[in-house]
Amino acid sequence: MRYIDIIATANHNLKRNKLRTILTIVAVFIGSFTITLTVGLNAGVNDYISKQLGTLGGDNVLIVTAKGMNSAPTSEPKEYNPNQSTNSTFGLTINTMNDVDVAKIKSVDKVTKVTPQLIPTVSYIQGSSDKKYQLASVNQMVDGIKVDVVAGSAPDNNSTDNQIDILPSYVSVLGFKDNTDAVGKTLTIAAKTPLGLIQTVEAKIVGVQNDSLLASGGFMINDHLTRQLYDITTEGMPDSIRNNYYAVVATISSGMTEKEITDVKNMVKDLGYNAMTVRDRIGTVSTIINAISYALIGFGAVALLAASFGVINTLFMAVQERTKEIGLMKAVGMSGGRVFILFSIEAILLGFWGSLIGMSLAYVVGSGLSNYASQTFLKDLKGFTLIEFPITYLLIVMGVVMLIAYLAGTLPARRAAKLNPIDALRYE
Amino acid sequence: MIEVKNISKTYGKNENSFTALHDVSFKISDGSSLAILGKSGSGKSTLMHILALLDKPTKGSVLIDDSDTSEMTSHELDKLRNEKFGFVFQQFFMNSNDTVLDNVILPLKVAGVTKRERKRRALEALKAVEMLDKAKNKASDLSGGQKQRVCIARALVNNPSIIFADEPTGNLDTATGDVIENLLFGLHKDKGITLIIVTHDADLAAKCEENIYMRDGKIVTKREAKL
Ligand SMILES: Nc1ncnc2c1ncn2[C@@H]1O[C@H](COP(=O)(O)OP(=O)(O)O)[C@@H](O)[C@H]1O
Ligand SMILES: [Mg+2]
Repeated sequence: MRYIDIIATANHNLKRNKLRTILTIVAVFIGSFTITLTVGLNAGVNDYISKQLGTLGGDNVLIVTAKGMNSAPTSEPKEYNPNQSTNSTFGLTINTMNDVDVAKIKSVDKVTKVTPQLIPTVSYIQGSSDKKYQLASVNQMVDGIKVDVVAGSAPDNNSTDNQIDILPSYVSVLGFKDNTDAVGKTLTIAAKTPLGLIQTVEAKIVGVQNDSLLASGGFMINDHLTRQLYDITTEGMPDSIRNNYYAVVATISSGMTEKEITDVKNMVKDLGYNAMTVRDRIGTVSTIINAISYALIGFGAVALLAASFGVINTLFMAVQERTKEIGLMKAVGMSGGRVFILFSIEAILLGFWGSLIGMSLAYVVGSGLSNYASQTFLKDLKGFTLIEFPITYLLIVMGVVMLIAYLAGTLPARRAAKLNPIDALRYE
Repeated sequence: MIEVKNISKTYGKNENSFTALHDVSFKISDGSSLAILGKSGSGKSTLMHILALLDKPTKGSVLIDDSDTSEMTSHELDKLRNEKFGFVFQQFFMNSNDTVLDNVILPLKVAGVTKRERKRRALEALKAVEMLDKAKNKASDLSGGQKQRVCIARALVNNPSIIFADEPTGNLDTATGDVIENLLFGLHKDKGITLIIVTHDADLAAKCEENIYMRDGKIVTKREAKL
């Protein structure tokens, strides 16, 4: 029997008991639907993250922070060290870094530049309109990182002007017509001295940047502007407090392999610091998304397991009903192997239709959700498609579902293949 | 030529075993017609199944054109049945939801014949049994006699050299039975197809060149072709 005839026969056989076939397909469909949607979500998020990494660059940049007590309070008591600089804000003590640390990190081989990350706080910003706006944060530009600009360019750290990139959502409220109109305009930035006096500086808007996981709602400013704002917010403070950094950025000489970068990272770690590449930092988001995905895929897998019992049951019933027919086919010379293939293909077709319908519906639902998301809560994260369906992923899901259906079908298919034509034809 | 050498068939094992055939031997030459007669349970179907290579004897061997079938692989046996044999059963064994044409096509589908060719040959076979006008009908819409004619078309479609028929008129009234008999003997004469028919019917047996009478799994009398 030729394969094309086997497939046609299998398809024809499934149509004989339509209700049973449909119910089995529904079971396969539920599993496929869940898995496809989850895989789509995972693809969307991870694709965005890798796009971000691609546009961010900064592979040769290490973000270095002090070890211990640098984030949430650790459960373990830590001995006091007079040389360890700290910062206490809102009653929480954080280990920070000072110029001694900067010098130590600079001494590491292949580290070309160490820039302390100063975190000035901004009281308000004001553009060409009268209104003043709050700003969550400003981010110091890190050389080597690519900024995803929609207009203009990234702030230049070598410039002696104050330069800033703003976010698209601020363009109109600050009184600019559009993104390109904002570029070249002046922004007034106000900061408070420790005594509570407001001082303002002016900065040139050099670009409008898309919001991203790293920017997370902040404006990007160059070194010169950072220094100016920092001087205002720490005015009159002793150097021991002023030169106290939450993080420093170590730039590694460019053109190094991933392994060499890891080596430098480990050398910095050996000095007693936490060191992360940009990739590591964004990677944690990816890890969380992956964990959620695995849980959902697990749910889909359980649904598919249930569906495979449906496939087994359906085919056993079919073998039972068609005993005589199988006997006749074997009598006229169909080999057991071909009978096995025939029933296996029936199983695979159940998987095929179930996954096709499941994937199609997941596609429709997923695209809808994605559209809704990018018009609402993901509005500012440009280029973020919440749920994506790359064709390779769809093919893999379909392949796996069909494989599961095939494996479930082997039991009844084997029974059919082993049927003795005589017994089958005598069977009443 | 089919040669049966000392075959026995035992079903089951040990105390539950039942020997349906005891040391049966005979020969059938090409183009002849053989009727296997005997009461119900005498072992006629068992013998026919072994002859048709659908079953294996417990002892003894079946030689087809001097080659021992016990030495053939299952693939070779399948091929032999597919190409050389045609089957007609008392209970028809048709797929009642399929069309008459599809039922007749089955052996050719199994053989891997192309779509156009198998349709052509199936229509030809239906024409030979005068059922061409029912080709598109559902098999379940046919009367018993029509069904058996379709079964003969199905047995005929692969141009077999032997047709095995197990009580082909057993489920039919005398008049329709006669039509079926005439069809089978027509094929036998016109195409030189060897006929092996299991039957109770003495009239049908009389039309065959050779007869084998069975009782309790043994051949009691043989009537061989007069040379
Ligand atoms: N699969 C089987 N297992 C056990 N006994 C069987 C089996 N098939 C047939 N028999 C027995 O073998 C004997 C011969 O059966 P069968 O060849 O069908 O007889 P007939 O066709 O002459 O009526 C019967 O007694 C029947 O019960
Ligand atoms: Mg019988």
